[in-house]
Amino acid sequence: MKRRKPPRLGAAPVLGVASALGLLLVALGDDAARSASAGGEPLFWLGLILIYGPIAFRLLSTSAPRGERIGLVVLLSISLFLVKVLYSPTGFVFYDELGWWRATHDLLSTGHFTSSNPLVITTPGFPGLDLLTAPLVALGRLSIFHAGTLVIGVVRTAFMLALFLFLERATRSSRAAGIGVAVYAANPSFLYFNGQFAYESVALLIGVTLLLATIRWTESRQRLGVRSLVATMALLSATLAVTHHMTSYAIFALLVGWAVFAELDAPPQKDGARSLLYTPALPAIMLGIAASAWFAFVAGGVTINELSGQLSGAITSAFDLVLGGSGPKKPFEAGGQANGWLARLIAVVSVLTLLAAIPLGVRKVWRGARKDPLQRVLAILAILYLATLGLRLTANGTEASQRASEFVFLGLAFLVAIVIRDLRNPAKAGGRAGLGVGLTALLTVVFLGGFIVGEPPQGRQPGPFLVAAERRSVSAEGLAAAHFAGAELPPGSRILVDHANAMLMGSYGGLDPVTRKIFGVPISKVFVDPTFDPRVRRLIRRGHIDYIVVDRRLSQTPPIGGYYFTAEEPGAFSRTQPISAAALGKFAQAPGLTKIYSNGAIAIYDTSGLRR
Amino acid sequence: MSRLPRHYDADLLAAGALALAAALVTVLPFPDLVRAVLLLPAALLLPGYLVAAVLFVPGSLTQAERVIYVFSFSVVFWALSGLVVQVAIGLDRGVWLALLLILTAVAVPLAQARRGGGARPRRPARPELRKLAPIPIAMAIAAVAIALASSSADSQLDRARFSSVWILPSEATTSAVRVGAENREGTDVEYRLRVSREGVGLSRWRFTLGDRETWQREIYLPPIAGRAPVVVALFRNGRLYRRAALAPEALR
Repeated sequence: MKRRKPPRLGAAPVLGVASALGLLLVALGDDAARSASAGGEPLFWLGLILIYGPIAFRLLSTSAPRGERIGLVVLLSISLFLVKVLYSPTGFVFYDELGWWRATHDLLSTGHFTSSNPLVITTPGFPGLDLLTAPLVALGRLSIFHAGTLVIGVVRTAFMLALFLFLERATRSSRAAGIGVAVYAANPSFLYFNGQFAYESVALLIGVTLLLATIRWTESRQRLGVRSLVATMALLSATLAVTHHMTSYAIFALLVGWAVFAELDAPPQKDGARSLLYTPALPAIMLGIAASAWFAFVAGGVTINELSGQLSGAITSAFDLVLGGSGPKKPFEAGGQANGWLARLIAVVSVLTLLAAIPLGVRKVWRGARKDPLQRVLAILAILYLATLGLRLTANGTEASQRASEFVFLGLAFLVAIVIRDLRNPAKAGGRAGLGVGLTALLTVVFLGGFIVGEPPQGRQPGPFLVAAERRSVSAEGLAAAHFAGAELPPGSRILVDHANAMLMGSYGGLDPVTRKIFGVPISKVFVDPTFDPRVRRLIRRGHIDYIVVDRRLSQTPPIGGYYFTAEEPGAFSRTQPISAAALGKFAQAPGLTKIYSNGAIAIYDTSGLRR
Repeated sequence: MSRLPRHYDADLLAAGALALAAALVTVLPFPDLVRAVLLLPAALLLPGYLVAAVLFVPGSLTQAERVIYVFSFSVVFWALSGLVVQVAIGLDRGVWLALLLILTAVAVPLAQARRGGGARPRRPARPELRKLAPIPIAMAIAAVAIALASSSADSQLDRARFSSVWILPSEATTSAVRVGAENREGTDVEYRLRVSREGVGLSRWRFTLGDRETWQREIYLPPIAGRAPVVVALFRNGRLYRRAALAPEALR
């Protein structure tokens, strides 16, 4: 039997050593950051540059063979994923990760996916991730953390490889595909948000694989077999529909746009309906049916609850900004933390570079000799980048912008790739080298700028405890209290708690945190008011609240992330003073409350005494 | 398909063997490392490989495409099979293993039958070892980075210094409480613990805990009247350090 030819890996193995050294620098930088020592930041950024720069340089070159480009894409994916792993190598600290830990734990405990999750309300409606992770935990005898990390690492790497193949077809060039993947890694969500143990990471792989199958469907279905491709697209559509809402809808919209352009560009056919099915229309129909059915019969409620808040907040903020109802959010500032001048400069250059590529790339697509419907829909997707930038200027649009970037960057990656692909190569070797170095530097700035745009200063590296800063608020005291709750308190007990401790109590603690409102009254009122008055006591009784968790450290500083409990709390993003220590201390003297647990920073109050 | 194939290609035989090996290590006592080495590829790769083998005969996909479909179809398999099965029965290790074995039993002959006498999977390329030499070096450096980060993260948590105290209703009776303490001070600490109610001492304890050690006792109470809570006080170096209490209502 003939052997395959070995792929030509070129410089990829050697660049693997450079990437690994970059990871070592990141680890050293994070170590210094954890102890608030000097030098943490420079080491961290140097590590990122050492990982990304050499790979980008080689992907930009005209001489690298295809096998090497694929190897570099895999290397880039694994290396950047490990940067995220180095942030928290021993346990989950991101909010969504802890929510998915809870969902997976509940599935393993009960054998079914549960009807509610207090941390990530959509997990019952989109169980793809926990259904994938739980078998690894059960069969491989791994912890949820290790199984989840492995799942996301594997899925992300496969996604980047799929993205390479997709862009290769869209650009008709493996060089452009590699460049496109490097640009995609610059999206603000890539390094941490999409590297976390959450459903979107899995959905992106399935979504892009569906796009690859669609390419085969439209271009070479006879070779693969019509039935095989139809079955493939059906299976992928069904899986995508049960894994993530936004990715399903975004891929559906992309397929519809692609089908529309394909129909507009196609010559008239005798059998119009049959020819339409041989376009992206068929997978669009499959995905549309799957996503609609899933929404209608299973996930509609949780989807509306999750997305309506984000979308309405973004739309309202946008109108307020345009009509003058509110000023723009200060760019490069979050929760009182501001970026330095160099970070701002890098972020601005990154954004301007991407903006400049849009008209250049759109012009190439629309004026090109070859009318390619896939290229046109990707160009339109890239134009939406402007809208996501606008959302970042609004008070409540940042999250919508962050989530949209994963899809918008599919189009941006394509446009930047074809702009660079078509740059005229200088005749002299020195000129070519200079162009290569210049483009590498520019791409690296785009990458670093994307990370700066996507992550607030306090979230880029681990470090000492910060008040109300999500991942930076995971502390030994919080973990101890959560593990105590998980071991000793009745599972599912309802608790009033701040957002940061809710992550831990709702996951490892197995409890049901209430952080927003009870009967229309914001939870923050219970904590901020100086007295524990009868009205509050009635709310706690009526709301069947079993415990109140009080973190004394909330009185140390205003909330770094902008809020203590929820983004909608009174004073969110505008507090200049922390909750008073006296307000947090009132629970110790409140009639009907007894402190059943204390570790100094965190106390848990039992409310049994309120029920007489 | 009227008959099962008589001969199977090497890759399908290997897939079947992996599934059987996975079943054996799940059922029999094996070291965790052996389990992980066998079961992780069985869980992450095998389902996708088999589904891809059924749907796409050798040579119809490029190598890169097949790799993507292997991972994607593994996601498809676990997500959709688990979704359907959990409606009827609870998912556990045995069910997941059964699903894997059923898939293998169905997919291997199907894939072979689809191949018929046609294209066979090409043998994997013999790697040029000299060119792959930097890879183990890179992996070793990355492993050092991960070990450093893990140690750093653990040290950060270990730098916290605190002790915890708690009081809870007994699980066995309404006439007792459970009191406990945990030492996270980074060194051995001698504690005194006093349980009282309305100022009347009910129980006293003196104990030494090492770092990260926990102490718990069940303490029986005299008949309780009134609403005064049961109080537990933890003393360190002769001074009150932590305090917790339990309302009588919580005992009922």
